[in-house]
Amino acid sequence: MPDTPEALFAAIQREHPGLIMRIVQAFAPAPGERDDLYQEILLALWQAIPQFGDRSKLSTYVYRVALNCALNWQRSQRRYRDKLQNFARMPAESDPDLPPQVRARLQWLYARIHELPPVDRSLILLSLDRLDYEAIAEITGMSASNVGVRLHRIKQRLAAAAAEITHEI
Amino acid sequence: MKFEDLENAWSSQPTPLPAVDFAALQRATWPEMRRRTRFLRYELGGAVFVLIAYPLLSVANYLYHRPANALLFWGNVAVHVAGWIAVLGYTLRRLRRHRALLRESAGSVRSFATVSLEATAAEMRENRLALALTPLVFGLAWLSGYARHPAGYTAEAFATQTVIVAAILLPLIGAVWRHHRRYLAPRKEQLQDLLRDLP
Repeated sequence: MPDTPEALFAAIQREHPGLIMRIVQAFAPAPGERDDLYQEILLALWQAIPQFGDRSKLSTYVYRVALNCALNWQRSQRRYRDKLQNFARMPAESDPDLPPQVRARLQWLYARIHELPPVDRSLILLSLDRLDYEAIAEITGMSASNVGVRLHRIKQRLAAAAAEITHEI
Repeated sequence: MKFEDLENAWSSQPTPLPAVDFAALQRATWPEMRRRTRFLRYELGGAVFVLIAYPLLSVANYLYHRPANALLFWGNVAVHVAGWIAVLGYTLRRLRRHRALLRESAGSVRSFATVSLEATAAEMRENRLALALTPLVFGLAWLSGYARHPAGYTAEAFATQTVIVAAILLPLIGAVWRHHRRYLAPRKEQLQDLLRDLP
C-alpha cells in the first residue's frame, strides 16, 4: 500500500488512469471550473491520506474522496482561486487523438451526465467505470439492490435518449 | 445510437492523470489548509488570550486601585471569565466538527453527507444561539462599566458604552447572519436533498 503522497498519486495514475478527470468532467461543466474542482480533489486526497488504511482498496478510497469532494463542492466557494497556487491543471477536455465519432459520443454522454441529479451522476460514473453493484454500494453507502434498481432506470433513460438520435454520432 | 456504443466510447478515454507538481502541491497545501481554518484559529487564539489576560489585568487593576465594592468587582470578573470559557468551548466544538469531517472524507458518500449535515446544522444552531445572546453581551458591558465605577456610571457613560459595543458587535452579527443565510442554509438544504436521494 502506498504510504507517501507521491507513491499514492503514482499508484492512482498507474492503476486508475483518468478516474479523477472523469469525475471532474462530470461535475464541473465549465472549463474554468474544472481546474478548481481538480485541485480541490487533489487537496482532499492529500488530506485524507491518514484515512487510507489497509481495509480499503485504492480505487474505493479515491472514488470516495473524489465523489465526496465533488458532491460537496460549491461553485460559490471558488472565489479563492486567485489566492490559491495553481499546482495542477486539468488537461484538455477530450483527447485530440480520439476518433471524431468517439469524441462526439463522449461529449454527448458528458452533457447527459451533467443533467442528472448528483447521486444519479455518481452512480452512472461508477457504473461506466465498470464497478460492480457491491463496490458502488460500498462507495455510496446505498444497498446493492438499490444501486441496481437506480442504475437500471438511469441506463434506461440514457438509452432512450441515445435511441432518439437519428443522425450518426 | 445504442447504450453499448456509449459504454465503448467511455472505455476508450485515454485520459491519464496529468503529472502533479508535488513541490507546488506541498507548498499550496499547508497555507490553504491554514486559510480554511483561519477563523477557528483566530477565535481559539482570541479566547485563550482573553482567558489569560483578563484575570491577570483584573488582579493588577484590583491591586492598583481597590474598588469600592470588591464583591461586585470579582463577580463581574467571574461572569466575564465564564462567558469566555463558553466561547472557548464553542470554538473547540467547531474544531472537533472540522476534524470529524476530515476523518470522514474517505468514508462513504452517505456517511460523509451525514457528518457534514450534522456539522452544518450544529453550526446553524450555535449561530442562532449566539445571535439570541446578543442582549447578554450588552448586559455584560453595562455590568462591567458599572462594576468599575459604580458612582460615576452616568447616563452619558452608559450611552457611550452602548454605542461602542454596538459598533463592534453589529458588523460581527451582520457577518454571522450573512454566512448563515448565504452559505449554511443552502448547504444544509443541499445535503438534505443528497441524503434524501440516497435510499
